[in-house]
Formats: sequence, structure tokens, C-alpha cells
Amino acid sequence: MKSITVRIGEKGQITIPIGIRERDKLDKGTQVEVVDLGEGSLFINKIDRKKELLLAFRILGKRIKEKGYNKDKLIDFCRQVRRDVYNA
Amino acid sequence: MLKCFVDTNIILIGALDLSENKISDEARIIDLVIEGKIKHIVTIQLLNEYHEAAKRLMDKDFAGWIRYLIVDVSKPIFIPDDVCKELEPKFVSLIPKEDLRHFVCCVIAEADYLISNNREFLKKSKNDVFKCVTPREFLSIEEFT
Repeated sequence: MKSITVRIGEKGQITIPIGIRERDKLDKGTQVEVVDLGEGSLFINKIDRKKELLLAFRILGKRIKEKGYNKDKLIDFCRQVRRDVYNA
Repeated sequence: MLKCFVDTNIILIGALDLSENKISDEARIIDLVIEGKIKHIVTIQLLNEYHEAAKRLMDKDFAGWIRYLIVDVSKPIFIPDDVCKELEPKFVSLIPKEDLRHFVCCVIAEADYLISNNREFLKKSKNDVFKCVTPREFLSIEEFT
């Protein structure tokens, strides 16, 4: 892990060095989250929506399992959801 | 790229299998959607089904989050309701009313596949324009690396 010194600009902007941007595909418009760790420490993390969606699917799947659904029950559950959404 | 309608039951069964680290056919379909290897076709009704199913299983906030992520990541082909409504009368006698919007959006989007585990839906949607298949059938026809 390398430490790099950058200076904060007029509107609070910082420039991430080109080498890091190229390596991590931090192109213009890429979303990053800034985590405030307190006492002047900040953590910058590239937002990866694919990973986030995969995580969301895993959380949903865990709940489905806890509720005791199997494949057949899920198909019936989805049929009911379809009818209810249609009739709403 | 193949244009596919991915039914709600695929999403839920795939989610269950992903949580157990099972590489099932449904989990593979989810992976193809996430990785942009197939183009997902959606309508408001389908997105509402995803939302409603997730809401019943989790809660409203989670449902909103996962629906947003699905759209944001998969960048689907979105078929507006008013376009579907124009075509629906043509098929109303053939397709059950709650499935009609899904069938019609496939016609409009010139889908390659309608993928579902609902056998009744597949049977009634059978046509000469796009294939109506289970995840297993889809993966046995198409090869993905």
C-alpha cells in the first residue's frame, strides 16, 4: 500500500493520480463513496454496482431459505405476486 | 446480443441458489444479466413484480434497492405500457390476462427468448417469433463462455 499526497482544490476537489485512475478504471463519471473514518481520515471506495447487486441477490436468497421456500413453492409464490400486481 | 425476458421466478430461484453458492441454471441466468451477456427486456409490470416479491420477502426499502440495482446494472430494454396496450387486444384471447403484458413486450422488443419456470406460461406463450423456454433449455441451446 502506497501513500500519495494530493492537495484539495478550491471546491474541495482532489485529483487522483493518473496511474491509479488507469489501473482501477476510475474514468470520468465513475461513482466513488467517501467514508469518513473520523479524525481527518477518509476512505475512498469505487462503487461496484455489479457486486452490490450480487450481494442483494444473496441477501434475498438467504431470506427465501429462512422462509422455507423451495423451487416449486417459489414458482407458486411468483404466480400469486403476478396476479396481485396485475389486479392492483 | 440475445434479447431475453427473464421471469420473476428465475430471479428468486437464482437468488436462493446464489445464497447457497449453487451454480444452478437460474443462477447462471442472473449472472448473464449482471455481466451484460444477454439483454434484459422489462416493463413496469415486470419491475413491479420484482419489487412486490422482494417486498413480501424482505421489506419496502430492500425491494426498492434491488429493483434500482437490477435496472442500473442490466440497462434493460424498457417497453412502455402505452406501446404494449396497443398490441394487447390482438392476443387477449390467447394469453391469460396477467401474463399478457409480458408476452406483448417480448413481441414488441423482438425478443429471442422468454425464459421462465412457469410451465403454463411457457405453454400458452408458445409462438413462431421467439422461443419460450426454461433456464435449462435456454442454456442447452445457447453457449456462453
